[in-house]
Formats: sequence, structure tokens, C-alpha cells
Amino acid sequence: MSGSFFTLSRFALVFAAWLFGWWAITWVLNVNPTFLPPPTTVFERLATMATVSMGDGTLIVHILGSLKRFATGFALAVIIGIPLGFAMGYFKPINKLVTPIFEAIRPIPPIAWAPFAILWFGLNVGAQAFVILLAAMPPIIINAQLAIRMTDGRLIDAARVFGAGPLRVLAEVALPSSIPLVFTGLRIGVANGWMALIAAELVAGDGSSTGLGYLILQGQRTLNADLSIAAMIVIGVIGALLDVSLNRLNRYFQGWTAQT
Amino acid sequence: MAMEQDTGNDLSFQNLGMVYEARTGSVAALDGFSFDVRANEFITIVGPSGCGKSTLLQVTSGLQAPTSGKALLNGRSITGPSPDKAMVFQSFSLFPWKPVKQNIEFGLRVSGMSRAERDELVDYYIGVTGLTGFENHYPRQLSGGMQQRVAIARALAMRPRVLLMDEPFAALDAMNRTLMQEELVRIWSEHKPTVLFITHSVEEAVYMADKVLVMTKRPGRLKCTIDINAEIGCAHWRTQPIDEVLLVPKFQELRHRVWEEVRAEIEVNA
Repeated sequence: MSGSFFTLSRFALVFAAWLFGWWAITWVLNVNPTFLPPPTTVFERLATMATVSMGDGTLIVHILGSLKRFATGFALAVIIGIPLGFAMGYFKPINKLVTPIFEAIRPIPPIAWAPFAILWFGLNVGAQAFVILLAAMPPIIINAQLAIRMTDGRLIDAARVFGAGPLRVLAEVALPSSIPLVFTGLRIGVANGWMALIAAELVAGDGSSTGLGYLILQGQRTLNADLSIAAMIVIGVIGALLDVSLNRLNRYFQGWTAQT
Repeated sequence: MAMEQDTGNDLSFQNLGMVYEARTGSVAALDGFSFDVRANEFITIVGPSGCGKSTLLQVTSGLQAPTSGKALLNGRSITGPSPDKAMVFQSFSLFPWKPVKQNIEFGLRVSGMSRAERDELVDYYIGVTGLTGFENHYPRQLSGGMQQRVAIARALAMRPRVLLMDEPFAALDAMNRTLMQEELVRIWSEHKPTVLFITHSVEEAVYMADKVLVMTKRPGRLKCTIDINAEIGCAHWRTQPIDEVLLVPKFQELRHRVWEEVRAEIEVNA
């Protein structure tokens, strides 16, 4: 415990030093706050945002708005991506059918779909969820597929010797052993999706004045750099929290692949 | 009453051949392997690496079909896995996400046995293999020796007619290995399934077997058979501790003879 406390306090110390560096630059060079505000202004802004309404509400309204869009797109990515990846990993014909179109779409940055997304779904949550879906799904599919294909052949043999047919092998061997890799896919998917959300909010609003992306835009339009930076900090913190919580969940399953 | 295939043996290998097609050409793992195993016999198989020992077990278990020849169990051609054949793997191959008890009952559950019957059998074999108290442990929480006990219990719980063991003790340290050899003989003598036991240890082979089969280098064929019971001429030494048996002159002689046969194959290969 003392070790992790030490690591944490050292981390905080280094972080504080960087913040001080930021503050020193703005102070020594007397930087115009509309160009780069000092950290103190940004933190004041963060505190104000929690209580004072911007656009459709206070900070929590914007966070919830962004999270709702993210959750919609990410949930769809999971619901479609995991079964599709499993199917591609387990049934060769499905893999051969899906892979060409998948590989053709994958290199296209998700945000490039924004105009189409707006065209198809209109300026609403659907367009943003679609972009998030496209960003989050590829790593989920790839890892789910890989997880099934990497199932330990020795365990499959063991199951077969004891009478298991293909479906039981899938349900009782391939699926449980896939979980750690599937989680890896989810983690990358969360990161990709969260980044795409902000891009989607910047490019394709949903007609409302909510979201962390909206706050960044609002800062730009009103020449309030502190607002933009404050929103960026919130985005970073939430992204990190999402990653940490998924990682915590993943640790529970790690032993499943610890081979003997 | 079609008995023409019944050789009166438990297992019968007739001119068994296995050729693997690889990109670099075909590899013959087995070529004309023939042997008959009587019921309740403990057979150990030794031979140089790559001589097709594991292939032989794969074919017997029904995991792979031979490319030529036949493998018969009780006079019937082996076409796939069945509950009367159980296997213990070198790598244990336990399901890491299932606790000990669920690992052991896997085959019974697949075969559709009722929970009550399963519980009774599993409890019995947990006791026999010395796993009492570890029912709810996960494999990773157990030592190698304990994990292999689970794998043995999983196979025995099927009450198989044939027990296939593919270098089951190769991954254990020397001391655990010795203990497990003695344990296996004790457990085996309770129901005496027919055993095919692959090993790289000549000592292990001579200690446990009714018959030791020596295979040639690839493509594997039966080189010779050493009938340990006939050689001993009285009670088998496998009921005595290994360290005592090691001192028996006849044991040393047989170990030497088997080793000479295996060595000839390895040196031809080199």
C-alpha cells in the first residue's frame, strides 16, 4: 500500500510541476488569455461550469449528453461486433463473406462518414451514434474473431475426447477462453469511440446545445479558450475513467487464460 | 452376429498408417502399425520423438482418422470419440474457467448423466485421486501434480474401457513424477481399464507396464514388444515402491534392454 501511495504522490508531484510550467509560461511571457489562458483560469472556469448554465445546462448536463450518445453508439458496436466477430472466427464462410467489406471500410476514418450520417439519420443522436459505432466496432470485431481463432487446440481436443460437439466446444471452450481478448477489443473500442464522439460532436451537432464537443466549439466561437481547455480536460478524465473501469473488470477474467 | 472382425482383443491395430499432408510434402507419422491389446492390459509405449506415438493415441481416441489401416475397439472400428475411451493429456488440458469438480464431471455431463449420479461418481474419484478439499479450486490454484490428478479423475470418472495417457507425467518434477507413478498403479488396479501409456521414460515404462512397446523412428512401426509379466515370472513389481524396484536386477536388465532398443532408433535418426 505504501508503495502505491508513493507512486501516486510522485505522479501528483510531477503533474503539479507541469501545471506550474504551464502557469509560468503564461505569466513570464504575459500570454494573451484568449490565446492560452493560465491553468488557474481554466480551473476557475471548471468550477463555474459546474454551477452556471452554458447552452442547455451546467457541466453535468453536457457530460450526460455526451455519455448518452457514446453509450448508444458503443452499445450497438458491442451488440453487433462481438457476435459478428465470434461468427467470423468460428465459421470460415462468414469470415470470407465479411472480411473484404470489413477491410475496405476499416481504413476510412469514422469521422469521414459524418456527412453521410447526417444525411441518413438527420441532425440527431443517430448520426453521432453511427460515427461512434464505426469507430468502436472494428477493434471489437477483430479481437473477438482472433479470440475464437486462438482458442487452445489442446482444450478443444480435451472437450472433444469427452464427447463435446461443435456447439458445445463453442459455448464451453471457445467463448469462455475468448473473454480476455474480447476485453482488449472493448478497451480499444472505448478509446476509439470516445475520441470519435468528440469529433462527431464537433462536426455533426444533434440540434441541441449539449455535449463536451459543443463546449469546445462554444469556447472557440466566443473566444473563451479557457472554456475549450476545461472541456478538453473533462473529456480526458472521462476517457481515462472509462478505460480504468474496463481494465478493472478485465482483471477478474485474467486467470482464465493463465495456461498451466 | 457379425463376428468376423472380432479378434477377441480389447484394442486391435491393423496395419495402421497416418500420412500428414504439409506444404513441404507429405509426412508419414505411422506406417503399418499392428498390435493387439487384451482387456485390462497396461501397455506403455516408448520410441524416439516424432515416431507417431501421439498420433497412435489420437487415432485410438477417435480425434483423428487414420489414412490407412484400422483401429478397432472391441471388434468395432473407431470412428470418433466415445465415452468408453478417455484421455489424459501431457499439458493436463483442464478448463481454466471451471473449478476442479466441474472439470471432472465434464464428460459425464456431456454424456447426459443425471446430477445425482454425476455427484456420486465425481465425489468417489475426487477421493481416489486425493483431491478431497480442492473441489472448488480453480486449476491455476493447484500445483502441476494436483492438476494432473484432476485430469486423471476426469478421465477415470468416465469409467472408460480404455484409458489413453499421453506422457501424463512429463510436465511434473522428478519427485512428483515418482509419487504419481505409484499412485496411478494403485488407482488403476481398482478397476483395471485397458491402458495405453506413452512415455519418454524407459524406467517409467518398465515399472508400470504389462507390456512395453518400442516403436521405430518415423514412420512409426512396432519394433518389438517386451512382455514384462513373462519376464518377471512372478508378482509384478509395480505394487512395490519405485526406489525398491530400481534395485531389482531383473528390472535393471529390462530397463537396459528397452533402452538399447530405443537408443538404436535414436542413433539411426541422428
